[in-house]
Amino acid sequence: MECIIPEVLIMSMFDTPKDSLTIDVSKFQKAFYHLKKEPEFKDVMREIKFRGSPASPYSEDLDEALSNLQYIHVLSRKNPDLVEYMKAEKFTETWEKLRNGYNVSIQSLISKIGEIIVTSL
Amino acid sequence: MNFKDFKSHIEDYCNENLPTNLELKPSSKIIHDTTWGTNLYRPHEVSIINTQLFQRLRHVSQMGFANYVYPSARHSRFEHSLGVAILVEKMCKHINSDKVIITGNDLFSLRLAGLLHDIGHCLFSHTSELVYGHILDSYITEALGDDAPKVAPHEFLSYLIVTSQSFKKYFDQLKKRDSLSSKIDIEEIALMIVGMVKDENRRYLTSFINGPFDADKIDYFQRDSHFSGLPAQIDLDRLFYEIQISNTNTEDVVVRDLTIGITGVMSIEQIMFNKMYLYSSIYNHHKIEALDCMFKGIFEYISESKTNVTIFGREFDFENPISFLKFSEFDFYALANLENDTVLRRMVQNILNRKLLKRAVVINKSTVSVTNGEFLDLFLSTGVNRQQKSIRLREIAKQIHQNAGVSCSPHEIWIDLPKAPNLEEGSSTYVRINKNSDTEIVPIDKFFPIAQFQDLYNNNKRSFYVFCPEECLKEVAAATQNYFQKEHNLVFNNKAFPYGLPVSIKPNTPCQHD
Repeated sequence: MECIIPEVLIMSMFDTPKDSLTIDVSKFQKAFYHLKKEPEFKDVMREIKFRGSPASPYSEDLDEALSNLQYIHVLSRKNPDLVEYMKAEKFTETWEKLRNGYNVSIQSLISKIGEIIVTSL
Repeated sequence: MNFKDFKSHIEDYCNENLPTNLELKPSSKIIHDTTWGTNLYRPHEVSIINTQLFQRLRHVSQMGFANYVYPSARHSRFEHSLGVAILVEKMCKHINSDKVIITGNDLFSLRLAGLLHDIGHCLFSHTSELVYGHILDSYITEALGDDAPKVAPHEFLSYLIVTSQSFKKYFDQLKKRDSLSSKIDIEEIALMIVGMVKDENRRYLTSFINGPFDADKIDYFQRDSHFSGLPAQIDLDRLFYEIQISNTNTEDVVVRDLTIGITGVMSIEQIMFNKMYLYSSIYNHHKIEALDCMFKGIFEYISESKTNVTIFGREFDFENPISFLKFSEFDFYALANLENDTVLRRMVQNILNRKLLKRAVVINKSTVSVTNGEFLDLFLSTGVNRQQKSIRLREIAKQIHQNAGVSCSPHEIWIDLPKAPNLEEGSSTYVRINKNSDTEIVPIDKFFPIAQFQDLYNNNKRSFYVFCPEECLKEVAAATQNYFQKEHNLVFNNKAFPYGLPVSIKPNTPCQHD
């Protein structure tokens, strides 16, 4: 099964009517780490690698993807503490393009992943 | 080649580079070092240092081609490895100052892991990883499993060397000769190198070698900044005094790992600040990036033209990563004297004579108007799709070469995407908030604005480049502008062209060149 790129996994968290989310980086990393262990998601997340212990896992891929999404104005962060992430002007266009690159069954997994991660944050 | 065959190549390589007999008079040795002063290495360590396997590291430049920009940055993986062994002991001594927590055997293992952690680094260190790294991807999964952590190519080669039968046999001989404890486990040492553990209760040992503030990182910060002449400060004494081992309970396992006391947070902040500083000044310097591209171009040329590389009768097959362990920096520069291949000779001579590729186009937030979502598709990637993207970018660069109608080799035109520094230290470091408690810990990002560091770097310092030889600058700039505007609707402003505007076109207007 095709592996989902981390940018899409992160964008799936924002595919809701809510425009913003508070992302605590440690919780965010842990949530994806645990999700990757679930048999349902293991295969589509196989290329997302983590370092460190189960208590403080860290994926450079997720870190980089979060940064990429801000670089291209898909997400932005709010002052003063910069932990609140919002959809930015390129979100809808990029999200549709990237998500539509996957087949329907993967698209449904993407949506599930988004929901699970949001509830874990 | 399958993994089994590759492992047998590693075995042969280790066998050829380890002595059959131990030294006649083993002794400890005192070695002087610019960074950590005068230090003692024990007989078994000296016997490892004296092997060809380890001596090779003298000729592996620690910072790749950085000395072409920072002339004194000529230090090697050899002294760095010696340094990590010393530094890890210094860290442990601080932890042991009140009571012994790190036992003597663990200390021996850590020093060995420090010595051996880079034994798999190949010529010009991380630069050659750009060429052979992707070949190892499937082997890493096969050797370490689906849940393997992110392992750098050189770390994996180090792991394979240390776990080879030849190395284990040699190490067993040393253990016997020097009456070392049977508890020193070479498998555990190898796991430390790739950031893995046998038992999460002993995670802290791995974190000394492969963690957010490990001895490797601290040594290379100090050494790289010293030898490049860029002053970087970390209050190491404070950092070391603040490191302790704490228990962290997860759902199913107890992890014992390194944590930092609240007054040591400043030192981590210094590490992160210095990391950004070294990335922007050295690791991502555009001239060093250009040299890395020239290096990749040489190997791309060798591969695509099916050139036989033979140096003093030794033939190299660069489809096999083992060749990068055998092919030294001397061998690389010897290609500048090849008689039978003028293209290859010229490409290597260009590096030797510092006739570098130049920036035809600089692509960043201030030089490009992003008109659609193509920017992510083209320029941004992660470890998940970096290899796939780099293949696509090579196709584009070759298209630009063709459209530009220039006489240089296509292997001299590159679209380069330097990687931004990661923020691992900020995400996986835990702070003890109560001086009298080992269990009250919180993530370090609660204490300083890691996010701002990353934003500032991305907004102001992260650039992508199109490189080409000096004589083709304007044609390549024009072809690049044309290509991206036509195919991806990206428009560059004047600042994108550091060596002048493209030929025959006005800025921000469609190019008629092709």
